[in-house]
Amino acid sequence: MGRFVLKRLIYMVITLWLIATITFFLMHNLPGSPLQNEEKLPPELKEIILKEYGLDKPLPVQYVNYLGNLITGDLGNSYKYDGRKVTDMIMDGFSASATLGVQAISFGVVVGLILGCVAALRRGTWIDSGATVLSVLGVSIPSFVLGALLSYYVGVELQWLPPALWEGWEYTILPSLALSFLVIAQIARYVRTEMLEVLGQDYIKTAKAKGLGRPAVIIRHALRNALIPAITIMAPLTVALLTGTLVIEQIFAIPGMGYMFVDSIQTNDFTAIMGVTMFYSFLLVVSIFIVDILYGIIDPRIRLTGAKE
Amino acid sequence: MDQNNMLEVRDLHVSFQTYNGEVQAVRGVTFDVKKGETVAIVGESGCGKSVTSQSLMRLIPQPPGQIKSGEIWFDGKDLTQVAEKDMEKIRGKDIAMIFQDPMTSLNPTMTVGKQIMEGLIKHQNMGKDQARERALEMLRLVGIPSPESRIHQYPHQFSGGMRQRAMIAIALACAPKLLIADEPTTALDVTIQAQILELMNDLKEKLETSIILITHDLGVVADVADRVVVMYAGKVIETGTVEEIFYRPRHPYTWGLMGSMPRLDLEQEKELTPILGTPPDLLSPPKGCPFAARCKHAMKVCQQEMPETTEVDSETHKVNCWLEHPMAPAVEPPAEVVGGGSK
Amino acid sequence: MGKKFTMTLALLLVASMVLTACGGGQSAGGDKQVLNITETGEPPGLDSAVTTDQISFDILNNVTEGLYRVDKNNQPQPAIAKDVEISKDKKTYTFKLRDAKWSDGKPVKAQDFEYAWKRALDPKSKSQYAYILYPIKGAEEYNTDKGDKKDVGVKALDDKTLEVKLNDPIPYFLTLTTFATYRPQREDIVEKHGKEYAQDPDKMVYNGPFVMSEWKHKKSFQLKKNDKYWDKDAVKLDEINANIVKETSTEVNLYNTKKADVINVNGEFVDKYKDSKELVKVPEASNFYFQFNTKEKVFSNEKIRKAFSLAIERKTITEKVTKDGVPAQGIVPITLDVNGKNYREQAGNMIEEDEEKAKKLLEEGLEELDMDKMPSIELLGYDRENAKKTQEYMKERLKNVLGVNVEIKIVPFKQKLDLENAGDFQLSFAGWGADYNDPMTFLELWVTGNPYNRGDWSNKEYDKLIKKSQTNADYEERAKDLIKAEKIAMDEAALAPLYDRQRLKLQKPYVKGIARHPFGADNTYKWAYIEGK
Ligand SMILES: Nc1ncnc2c1ncn2[C@@H]1O[C@H](COP(=O)(O)OP(=O)(O)O)[C@@H](O)[C@H]1O
Ligand SMILES: [Mg+2]
Repeated sequence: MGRFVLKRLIYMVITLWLIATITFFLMHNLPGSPLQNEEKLPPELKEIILKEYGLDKPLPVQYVNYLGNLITGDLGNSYKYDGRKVTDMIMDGFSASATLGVQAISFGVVVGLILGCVAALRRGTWIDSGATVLSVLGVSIPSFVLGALLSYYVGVELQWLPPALWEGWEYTILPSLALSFLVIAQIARYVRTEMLEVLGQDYIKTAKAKGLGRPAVIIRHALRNALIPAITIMAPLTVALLTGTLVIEQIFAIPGMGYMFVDSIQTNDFTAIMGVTMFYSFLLVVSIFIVDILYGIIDPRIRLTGAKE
Repeated sequence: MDQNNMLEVRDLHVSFQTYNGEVQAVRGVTFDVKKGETVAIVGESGCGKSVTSQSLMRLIPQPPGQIKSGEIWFDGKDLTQVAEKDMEKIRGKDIAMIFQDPMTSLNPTMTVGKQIMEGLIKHQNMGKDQARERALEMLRLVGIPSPESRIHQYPHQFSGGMRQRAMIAIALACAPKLLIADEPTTALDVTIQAQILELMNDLKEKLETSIILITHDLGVVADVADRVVVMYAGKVIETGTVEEIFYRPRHPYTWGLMGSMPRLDLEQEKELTPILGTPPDLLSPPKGCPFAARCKHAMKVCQQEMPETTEVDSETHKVNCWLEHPMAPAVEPPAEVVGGGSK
Repeated sequence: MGKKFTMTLALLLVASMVLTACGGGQSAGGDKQVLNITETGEPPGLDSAVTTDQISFDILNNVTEGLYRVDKNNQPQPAIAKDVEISKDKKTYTFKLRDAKWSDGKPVKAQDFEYAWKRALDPKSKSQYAYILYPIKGAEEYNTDKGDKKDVGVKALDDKTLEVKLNDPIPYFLTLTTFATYRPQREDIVEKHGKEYAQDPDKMVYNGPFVMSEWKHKKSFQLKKNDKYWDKDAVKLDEINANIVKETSTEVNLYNTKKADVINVNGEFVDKYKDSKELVKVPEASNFYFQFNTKEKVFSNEKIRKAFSLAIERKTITEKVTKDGVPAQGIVPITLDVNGKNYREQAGNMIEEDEEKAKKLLEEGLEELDMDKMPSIELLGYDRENAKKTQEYMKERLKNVLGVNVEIKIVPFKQKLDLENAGDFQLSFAGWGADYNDPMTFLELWVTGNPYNRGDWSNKEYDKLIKKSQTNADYEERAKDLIKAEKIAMDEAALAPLYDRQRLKLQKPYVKGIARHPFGADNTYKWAYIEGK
């Protein structure tokens, strides 16, 4: 297990370095500059400002500086919000996004799991059909459409919950729900298929033949095996969720990372774009890492063969 | 119920509802198993052996399966009538089962030890430590070396033969009165097969368990079984002691079986001659003898009506065949079948 | 299991409803004057000397105050200045300051102005709006590192007297002093916080009608009435709550649930509220136009340029295409004043639309150029919503009326500027916003050699009139000259003005007295109040 983890860690660092490099060079080839009000700015002043940001130095020098700062966790100063550190900006936004993400994932996973299991166990009943319809909808309706619908119908028409803003727990419900729909759908679909597959396996018969009750058979024997493939979709789901937060945060006016990312792109805030990209990548790579480890914990075949290599 | 009988199956009917209609997998099976006895069920694949054996433990998937009628008497209870909760108490404790493929019948994500302990904790009210002790004992009993470390391993770390041993350990952990082994050696290679059979024979003696052994291999039957039940198309067409079936088989299907099945106990030279034709479609089984279409000796009556069960030679040897009818012409079994036994 | 889940969900909903009901107290407060608004983005920073964006301008306009402040009619009124003495040559302004205080109780001094303006001009400050101070003597030189700080023509003669020397007499200087960049700053506070100055409410001081009481970055901010404000009796609102909302549909949702009293909307939503009294249109001092590149053969011909301008139906654009503007009446937007009076009322509508004449002029123009067919034209555009719509409309319109094939080339905004600066275009979709309340802010762009004269149109008479007006102390004559100049540019179709932009807002009927401005900051809440909510 130790070597397995170490190997994953090394992959992780290499991936991050690659992303950092690609982002850096892409950013520097993108049209646009961090200057505001550019069309009216005297050229002399433009030069002075670029110098201030170190943008006048040759690209390789900038790259080395950038990497050096990155290693120490310094993402630099924002170009747009003069005097603010990108790291601080990210942390400001992260708490909202994390709340949103964690709620959406946990709610989505729990509901998805239950739904998928129930659908599989009650195969062919109306619960199963309902779950299937929900899954198709959840996968095909983008979260921003759902978000807009929820905000309008639940927020404005019914006035059950606030249609937007971020003031307290009740404000987190609709956006989390909008985001979790995809998670519910994906997890339910996967768990249902896998559950059906697993329930037909011989070892389930063995478990039943031992005289185990239905709950023990399902929870101890079926669920764990059905979960393994479901865990593999957690990484792409996290990605989907992250991109989902981009729009959901706009729709619900949530001061999260998605807001920050869109904002930094709109205003050509180079350091912020690079910072957020790096942070997103970091999150993603770490979540993939965690999924890998989880996978290893749940499936001994992976863990043990991984160790042998 | 006969005092000597461990199990009595009476006129068991099991069907599956499919898109195409009702598959009548088991159509009136009757047999019994005495205490300490090993009964072999033989027959071509698809004839209902597994369905019969799983029905005994009420393990057929439901839906689509259903026990339509019949009785399964075990320990003074008709298992077809027992509540599911009570059935759970019988499974694994009084009746245990070993499946064909040891590669797939163990849970890949649970240690072998835990899989053995599970049944013990459930049925014997054992604590974890006690169950572990017993599991170690079982592993030792089924001949797994260094059980102390093996107990913590996962099935994928075991070889095929080892896994089947582990399966046997699971099955026998609670010292069941009846062990059902559904082709326990089919998936194993030949040398291992012999070891597993030997182990089963050994344990049967030690634990005084009755065994229902489902197999393709007549050699296995000759080695371990006391009695044989021959099944065809969901029906029992002949039963008898090993002696009777091997030396005086009466049903043309049994003859065909003798010629077509491998025999672990015989010299390699014997040539296998498959039975021509295919078994009937169980969606719409024929109303007469199901073997009639493939039978060289079939008469008009065979197509029209199912023959009665007839006792021949002894009260243990029974056969369902029109050839036993007094008006039927005398037909001799092929010579290679009768002389084949080496006992 | 299914039942339990439904139950849990229902409970959750009930719980959240209870929570919402409990939290609803804020808006119910009876006599407290509270205004809830939305902003479309996070203010990047409230350092008046360096900030450049509309949201910061808006906040600063309400929490700080300069020498003058624009009133409801967009006229400059004395604010921190009590009055002003203007020299005969109109190049020296001597402001007398009133007894105003900062929110920490210290008096607002003339030195605070001198400090702030020079700080904005200091190249190290990287102030991207510093050029707004260029009318002041020595300002441009200092800002572009060619001159010295001490030569900048602003001086605190004493605590209450500020002297400003200008390069030229300009009639709009008092309006300029209402701009954010012209606000005073406290040296001690700026020095104390350094890079963090004005990044948080407690890292700055205020001298306007309100103070910033709370600022949750990227989420919301709150303004409260400033008890130290010299004119605090005129201020009626106790509190302004602003939420940052980027999505217009979200703003509408908040508006409809009374979580916002005033919101911004765009053309998309206009149809729904077309006849509503709650729809407020605020004309802006900015316009959109087609810029011809006169270096291109076809557009070197005046008749062809004119034909293009004649062919456009401006009303269609503002009513059917973008829905957020009014048809242009000339180069100078309708909202601008000259000499304290509306410019367009004096200059009149200079736009002519005539399909037949357009066709005829195109033919004549081609003849003059010795061409028998109009080549296909490339329209340089950019990728913003309304720009794209307008570009598409023009393509179709020019095809239908003049039979001209137009190909649209859409590039990111910044790239468009690069291409324009390089003269690498035929026809471009462009816009300009006023920097100050005078026609000059538009008209000087088309002077020969001006870097923003991207189409290189040139007319000696025009150049002469503009140049004269830049230094003419006779403001009456100056106004006439500017009208003359605009007429020349329009006659020769140096450009084809399209429309003046409008800001669209929804405002609850109980909100009263918000002053809105076409240039500088968008809103003044000093006189706003809530009535009949
Ligand atoms: N789940 C099921 N659904 C439909 N038909 C089944 C099912 N299980 C078994 N059968 C049918 O029952 C018959 C007997 O099968 P089985 O008992 O497995 O045969 P075998 O004697 O080879 O063990 C076969 O025809 C098979 O198609
Ligand atoms: Mg079978």
